Amino acid sequence: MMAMRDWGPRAALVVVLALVPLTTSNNYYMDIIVQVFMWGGAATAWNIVGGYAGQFSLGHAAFFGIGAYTSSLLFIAFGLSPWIGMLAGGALSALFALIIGYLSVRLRGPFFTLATIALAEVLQILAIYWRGLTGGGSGLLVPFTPGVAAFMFESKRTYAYVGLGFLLATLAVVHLIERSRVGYYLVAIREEEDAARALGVRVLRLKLLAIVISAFFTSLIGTFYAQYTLWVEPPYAFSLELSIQFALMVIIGGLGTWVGPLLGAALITPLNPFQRAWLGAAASGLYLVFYGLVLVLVVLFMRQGIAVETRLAFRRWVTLRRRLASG
Amino acid sequence: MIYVQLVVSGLLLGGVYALISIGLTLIFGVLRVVNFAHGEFLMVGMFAAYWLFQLWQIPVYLSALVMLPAFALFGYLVYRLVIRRTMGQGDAVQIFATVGIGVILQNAALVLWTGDFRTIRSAYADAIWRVGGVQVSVPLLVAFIVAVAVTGLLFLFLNRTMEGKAIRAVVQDPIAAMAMAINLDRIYLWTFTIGTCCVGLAGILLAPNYPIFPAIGISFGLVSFVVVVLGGLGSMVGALLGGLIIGLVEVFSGFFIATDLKQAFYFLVFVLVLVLRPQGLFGQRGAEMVGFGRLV
Repeated sequence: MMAMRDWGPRAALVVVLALVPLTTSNNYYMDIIVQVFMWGGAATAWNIVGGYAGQFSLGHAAFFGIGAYTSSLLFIAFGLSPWIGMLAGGALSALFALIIGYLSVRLRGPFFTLATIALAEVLQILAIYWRGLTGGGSGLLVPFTPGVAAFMFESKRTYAYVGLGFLLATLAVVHLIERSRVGYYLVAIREEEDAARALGVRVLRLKLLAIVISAFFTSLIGTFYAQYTLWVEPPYAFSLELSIQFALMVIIGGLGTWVGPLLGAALITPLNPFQRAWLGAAASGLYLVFYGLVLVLVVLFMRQGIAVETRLAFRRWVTLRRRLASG
Repeated sequence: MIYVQLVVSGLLLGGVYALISIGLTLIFGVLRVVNFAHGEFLMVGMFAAYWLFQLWQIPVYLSALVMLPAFALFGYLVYRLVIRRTMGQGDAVQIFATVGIGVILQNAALVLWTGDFRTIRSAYADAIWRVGGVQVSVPLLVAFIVAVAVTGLLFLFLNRTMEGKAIRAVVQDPIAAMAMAINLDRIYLWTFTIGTCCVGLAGILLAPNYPIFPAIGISFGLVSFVVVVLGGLGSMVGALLGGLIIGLVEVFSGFFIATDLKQAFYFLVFVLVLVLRPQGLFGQRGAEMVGFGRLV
């Protein structure tokens, strides 16, 4: 895993990220920046379970949806600030993650994936069914009343910095996990579950911990999404597509790497079909065909993702250059 | 009488589910690969039937025969290009390679044919056969009969032919099978192709009965996972009985509780089975882990 020498590049990256929203005042580009931070945060959260612990959840949209709905409903019904609603949603997601996790952590490989898909589907069906509470299939509109307490802002740049805050918080947690005993345990579980168990790693407890942390942060991003778009609908917020999108970004960027999910988000988001509704279904379908193709090619030929493969290529190049220099 | 009707509807629906699931369970049983693109394969079959009917007025049941070689080719290509490279690789590769194929197929359909709901307008789509006071949908009955026939044929193929026996040998012990000069790669190719043909056939048979649109694969794909896990992954008979059970659960919960919630019920059944009896009703214990089971 990473050593202390990574502090420098990581701090530099944070500075660069903080400068990015200042580079443009164009709303279109600013929207892309906000989304890169937002999806980067969600992908980083997914990476805790999928990348470090090696449990491939395709049900993370459930936590995203819970976060988006809890804070929005509390705000609409009681005028509760989404900042507090966000924590309520996070707690609810963590609880749901505990239940999902308890039911499914014993399952391995694709069976865990199937169980997470099924549980997210149940939530989606319930969210559409309880129209009175959730607005049903047509969704929930959050009235725009800008203000710090209402977690709504006039300027997209403010959203970009708030989104960056969420992203950095998630990245900081992953940074801490990487350096802690827990991080090593999770990687041990990913690499060889039975061996890890034999060596005394409390496998089930650690998987649960990873899912709960991951769910909490995914849920926060869900709230951010709701506050940014001011509209939540079950067919999107709980969808399998969304869960696949989180996984896709991490896999393309690099499973189990600190910067990979953000890198994946930065590569994927600018072409994200959901923000290009004006292109029509056919064009957005074309983008998704391309993503599917990239996903297949990356898992087949660049298994470690772009972050690691680039680092390896860079190292090979440095070695080669040294060899050439020394004759 | 209403109970008889519900049971009949449930069993017919279950037969459809079983037909969809046979290919999935066969592929898993032999290759140990969960094909997450299974629902999208079905969607491709439905569109094939739709276009053959729409463009050349080829009756649905005839297009099943015409399309089988095309599905065989499709399965061959998917195996050669993707599945083969995932064999023996980690979960990430196996899961996301097939997830990626699903994303590609679903959205390629969206690009080519838009997201519109399409239906095949033909007389037998709504044909209903009345027996006593019970109504039986003819297309669903046909799908049901084909499901039973396909299961029976696969059973005979696996038990009576040399190729079938080779497939079962691979399921029991791939290494020993290899020592007996069985070409693993060829067995996997054969199995994947047969499984693809089964699901393509299912798609064609379902085409007259369901709206056809690119995302329909998601719901049917999920149903087939539920059926297959319930019946025991890799078990043919399990897929048939699992399909019937899920059909009954769906019809009864839809009738007595709420139509909109019926899917939630079988997902709950699914999670309960995964938790309480992960090997399914007819699967072999440990099959959900890494072990090897039996097909029939």
